[in-house]
Amino acid sequence: MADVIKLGFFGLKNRTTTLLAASHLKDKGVKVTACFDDGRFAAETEKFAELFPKAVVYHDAEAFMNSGINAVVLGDCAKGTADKAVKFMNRGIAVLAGAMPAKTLADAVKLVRTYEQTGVAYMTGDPIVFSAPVQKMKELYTSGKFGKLIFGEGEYLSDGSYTCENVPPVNYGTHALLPLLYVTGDTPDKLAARASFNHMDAAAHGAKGKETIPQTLLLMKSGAVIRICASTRVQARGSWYRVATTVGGIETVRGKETDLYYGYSEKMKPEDFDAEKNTKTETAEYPAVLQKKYKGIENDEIAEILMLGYFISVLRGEQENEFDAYKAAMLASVLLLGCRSGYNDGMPYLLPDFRVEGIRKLYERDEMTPIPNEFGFASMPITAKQS
Amino acid sequence: MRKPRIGVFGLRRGFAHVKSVNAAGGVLAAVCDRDSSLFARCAEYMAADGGYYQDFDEFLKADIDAVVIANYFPQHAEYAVKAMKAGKAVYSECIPAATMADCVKLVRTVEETGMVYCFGENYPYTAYNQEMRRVYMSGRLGEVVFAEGEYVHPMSPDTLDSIAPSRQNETAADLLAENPPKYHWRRYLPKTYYVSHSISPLMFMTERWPKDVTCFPALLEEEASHDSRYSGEAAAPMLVGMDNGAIFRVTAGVHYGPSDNWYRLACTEGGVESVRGNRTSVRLSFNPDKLPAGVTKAEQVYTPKFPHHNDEAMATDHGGGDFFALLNFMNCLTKGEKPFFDVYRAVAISELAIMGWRSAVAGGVRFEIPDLRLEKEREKWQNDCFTPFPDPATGEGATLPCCTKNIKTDYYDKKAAKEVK
Repeated sequence: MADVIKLGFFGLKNRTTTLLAASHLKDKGVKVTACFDDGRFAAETEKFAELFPKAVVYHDAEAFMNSGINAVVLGDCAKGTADKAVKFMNRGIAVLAGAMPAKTLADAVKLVRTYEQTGVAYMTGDPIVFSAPVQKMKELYTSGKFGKLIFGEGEYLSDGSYTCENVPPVNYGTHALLPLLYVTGDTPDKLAARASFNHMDAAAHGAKGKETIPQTLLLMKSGAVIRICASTRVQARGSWYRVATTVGGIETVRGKETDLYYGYSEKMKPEDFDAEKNTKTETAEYPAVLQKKYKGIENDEIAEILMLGYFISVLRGEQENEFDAYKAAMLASVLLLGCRSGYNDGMPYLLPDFRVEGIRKLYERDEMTPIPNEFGFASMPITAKQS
Repeated sequence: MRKPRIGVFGLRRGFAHVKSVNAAGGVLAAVCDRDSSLFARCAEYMAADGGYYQDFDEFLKADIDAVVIANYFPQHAEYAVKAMKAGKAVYSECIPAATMADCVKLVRTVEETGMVYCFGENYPYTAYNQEMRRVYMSGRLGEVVFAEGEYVHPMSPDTLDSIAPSRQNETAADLLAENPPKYHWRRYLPKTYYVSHSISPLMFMTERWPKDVTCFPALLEEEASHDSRYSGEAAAPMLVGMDNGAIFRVTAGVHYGPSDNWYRLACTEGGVESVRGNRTSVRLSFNPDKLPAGVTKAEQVYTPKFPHHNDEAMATDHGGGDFFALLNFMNCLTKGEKPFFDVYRAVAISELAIMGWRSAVAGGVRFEIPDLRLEKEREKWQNDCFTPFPDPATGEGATLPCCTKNIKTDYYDKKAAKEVK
């Protein structure tokens, strides 16, 4: 990778915090040189121009791709980013892509094959992974003092104000799942999903794509089980992550996501656990060195800085990439097969291993998706039941 | 009208009811257990003309109006059926029935005898769960679309060992005993069977019924091999389809922590739940930009009291739930009220346990929960006697695996179990 990484932003929707974070990357040899906007996000484009006055705003995608960038952050990602990621990677441009990694399983296969053929770096990025609570959960879990995962839960419940129309909320399931995979290091093996249909909401709002509330159980390779849910219709709003273990548990506090609640079961508390009772509740903070470095910056922005920093370290070969194309393909398969399972009353699905070419061949033509194309047509129903 | 005269069968768990009967408006008139050493502690609660029995048939001849069935977990149904056929009302501990055939027998016996049958599930009646029902029934939260219920009873290996003795602790006398601890039901308890404490409060709050179930068992092989039990799963989370289209996630009888029991309703307009780590409190939440009329705060946390009988309830076990569950039964006997947890809800809960396990064994395939209010459904299941529990005397008779994998758990090493932590 070049000494100076020329970073571009493709799609600025919901990216203001990422832009702010990118302005802190100069010490990592990163120069933001370009962005692409199709004209829909004037406020974000204005912010971009303010933060990076020497960068160019493109309204033509091809021109943006040829602008000389060697890494790109893909935004506007709820409808799947794999198709765009493949184009950039084929031009030697490294990719940091948000949720949803791939709109179809065929796209997931293309993503993995492109990664293997080009050797160009790809990272599926979720700033929630780099938030203080999730970082602290990882630190506690990997200390080994809390035993092994038995049951985990991940929820991403939004109010729908910034999610896409006609996109099943299951698409935001990466926010529910990836933090748990990061904390535990575990991998899902099989899933079964159930969908509850919100009759009242459908009658009142008639909003397609927001009626089905999916609950997915994942059987992990370790033998543990995880439940995830991403929804715009389960109240009240908030995210929540929990790992229940052989000796206790660690979780974010419900209703106060900045805090952690963790501890031990009866008689399992070790002597060096610094608390009177079996449990503790505390606000999760970044390590002192990061707090000092980013003094005055909101935690959301610090999470984005850390995510971008991780990506840059991967590009420079300083960091092994645990959010690579295989992880992205796996995430997409959980969400897409979870959809199918939910629509099929909980039929279990084995999750494909995209590292194996023989398995990739099984899915290379699987274009079924609940995400509509530009003509509004989707090959899978958006909802589990007819409204 | 005389106060109901109550007999309690099974004096280990049953002792909690021995302590509660008089306060709930009944008279403790008889107790029965094969272990006579348990009689002495019942004396202070017993009526002057009360009796002590070691034989159930003789116990049924006593001057009692109703029987509290608190014997071995998988053996409630056969004694409940006997009692009802002998003209006694029944209050049954969990699980009401451990086989589908027993579920059918229970329902038919209630219908044929007309006797009162009440499932004595206590957790719905804690102060916080009663409050959650009150809030939900007010309509402020809209309709439930997702709920969670967990019965979490963290136990160290030593504690578990004390109630389900391991082979390491067996004595020669144990092996020769009428019911050797080797065949104790806790050793063979599949992880879905202790589900009533998890699902019952949710059914009580929302008045919804389970229709089907999907279950994945969590089996950590290394941990399972150090367990004193033959059923090795650490948990078996279930997704239960309810009759209004909602999905409930329930997990039965787990030992992980740190929080204990937890219940949550996620609805179309808001949510209510017990507070994790402080279950006497309730958290009510709405989206800030969508507050219902009359609500000014998006989130409230408060500690509810019992709606009535606070002092009496607090003097009993399980957060006061034991008192209210028994009080409801007394009201059925004295005022003719219908029990909320009647035989139909009771068997629905049993079926969830049974079918949940079949889903787990079948790799997570969805199983329907038959509606045994319908005779045509009963006919399909009346001969289904599959059970994971062996005869406690002989160790024979189990026809289902109690573990989803072939784990050899006949070796229990406490030292190694501690090291695994």
